[in-house]
Amino acid sequence: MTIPEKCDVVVVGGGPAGSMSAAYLSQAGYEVVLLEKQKHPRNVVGESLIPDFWKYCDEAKVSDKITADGFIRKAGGTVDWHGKSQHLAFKDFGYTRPALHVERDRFDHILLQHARESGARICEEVTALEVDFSAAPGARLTYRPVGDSRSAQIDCRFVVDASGQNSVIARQLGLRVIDEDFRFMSVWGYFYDSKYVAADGQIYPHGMAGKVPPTTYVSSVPGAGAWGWCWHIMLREWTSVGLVLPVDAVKSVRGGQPAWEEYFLRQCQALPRLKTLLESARLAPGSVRVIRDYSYSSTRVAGPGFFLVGDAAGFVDPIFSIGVVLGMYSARAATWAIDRILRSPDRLADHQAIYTHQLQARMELSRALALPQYELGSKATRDAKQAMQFTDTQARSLIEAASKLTERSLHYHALVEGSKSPGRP
Amino acid sequence: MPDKDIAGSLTQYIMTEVTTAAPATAPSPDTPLVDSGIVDSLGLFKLIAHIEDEYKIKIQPEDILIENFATINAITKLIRSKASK
Repeated sequence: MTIPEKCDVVVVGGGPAGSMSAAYLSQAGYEVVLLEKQKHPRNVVGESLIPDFWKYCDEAKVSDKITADGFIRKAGGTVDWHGKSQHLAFKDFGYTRPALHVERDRFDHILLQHARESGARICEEVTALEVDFSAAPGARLTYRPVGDSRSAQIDCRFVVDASGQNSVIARQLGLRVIDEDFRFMSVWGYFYDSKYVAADGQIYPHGMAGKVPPTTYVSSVPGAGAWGWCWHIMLREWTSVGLVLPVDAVKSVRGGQPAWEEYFLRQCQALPRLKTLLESARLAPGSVRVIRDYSYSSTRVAGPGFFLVGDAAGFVDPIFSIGVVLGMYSARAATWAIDRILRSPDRLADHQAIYTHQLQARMELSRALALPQYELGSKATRDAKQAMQFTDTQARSLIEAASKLTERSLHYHALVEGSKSPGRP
Repeated sequence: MPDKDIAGSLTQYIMTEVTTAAPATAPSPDTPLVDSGIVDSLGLFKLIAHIEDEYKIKIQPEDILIENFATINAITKLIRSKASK
């Protein structure tokens, strides 16, 4: 695939936030080039989706393709938190469309294909290296095809950085800040033939998923600080199981992959219900992965020539399965702002500020929901309150219920107090 | 343009372009748009673009408060105050 020398918007990264950005912009008539460093389909973790993602997919006209793939429809969540067991069902909140457990290689590939079919030029196995913003307005991005020694450049009006944890632009500009209060890491792997917990609280064998929908199972991890937790997300072929632990709790793990695998299996056995779910399961060889220091934010999410979307803009603990939805939200909001600015360039500052304001408020909301330590009373908190007021009642009550499942969201409760009635001064 | 024309045109726009699940009846000027599920965070973006273009006004980040978008009457008032500047 030849990469042109210029276009309207370059999107870096072909995950959900990148593909959705490319689809929205192409459908609005813009010339889009998307650079993806890997070759899809490729697997990533983060398989649980709350039903809110559908509205973004409707808007991008990709919902039918997702429905047609037959992903596992989940019934809700089951949470064991320090001895207390609770259940949450989406239908109780009036959701008529399903939450899904998606294989991310498949799901992300559908979205990327859809961006291509919407008219975006998709260039896989191309690494974005750096962006030169000196030729304002606009940007010049340097890239290199994987395995090629020569780099080349492309000029555009905006770069949408959807490069996930790589955060190409945030790293280059020094915008990325690690959450010091949340020095957590994650270790996860995939099991064949794990059992699962259904909405009735009973345990079923993997093969029953077609008849009895699974729930996403979450449990606190005792002995890993007050805030460690694990996930169990049943997929069609296998089951994603992972642990989120304070960095301090895993200091003793040394020796690379084999040590991590052993530690991971031992931790899984130490959790009673997880142990039961995994009693006849087999770990997929080589599937164990580790990420350290994975909670961070960006001091800016937009600037002359760029927008950060999805995980490239920030990443909070994934306990409430809102990462993909937040990524899609940011894609919709950023492409809205880009469209407004390209129509009226004199409004650049206003529309970038609106994007920044709305996205950072939402990220603040997820921080309040998930983070053990969280400062209230800042400007960010006030913005988060405002953002909460624009969330529809259905989603708001779901967030509300989710916040009661663990002891993590004490700050969230303080934050939403008084933010429920519109027209409040 | 009289307020009731603005309100009428806004109602029309919201019913056809903003709400994903169209309510059986059109919202009244005092219907809470967000709490009734007619406008959500995505609908908000569409609404901002629409009123900026339609009424030649500029919405600033600090205008995006629930009190300015809670009802059709509130949006009408916002448009009025912006247009007179």
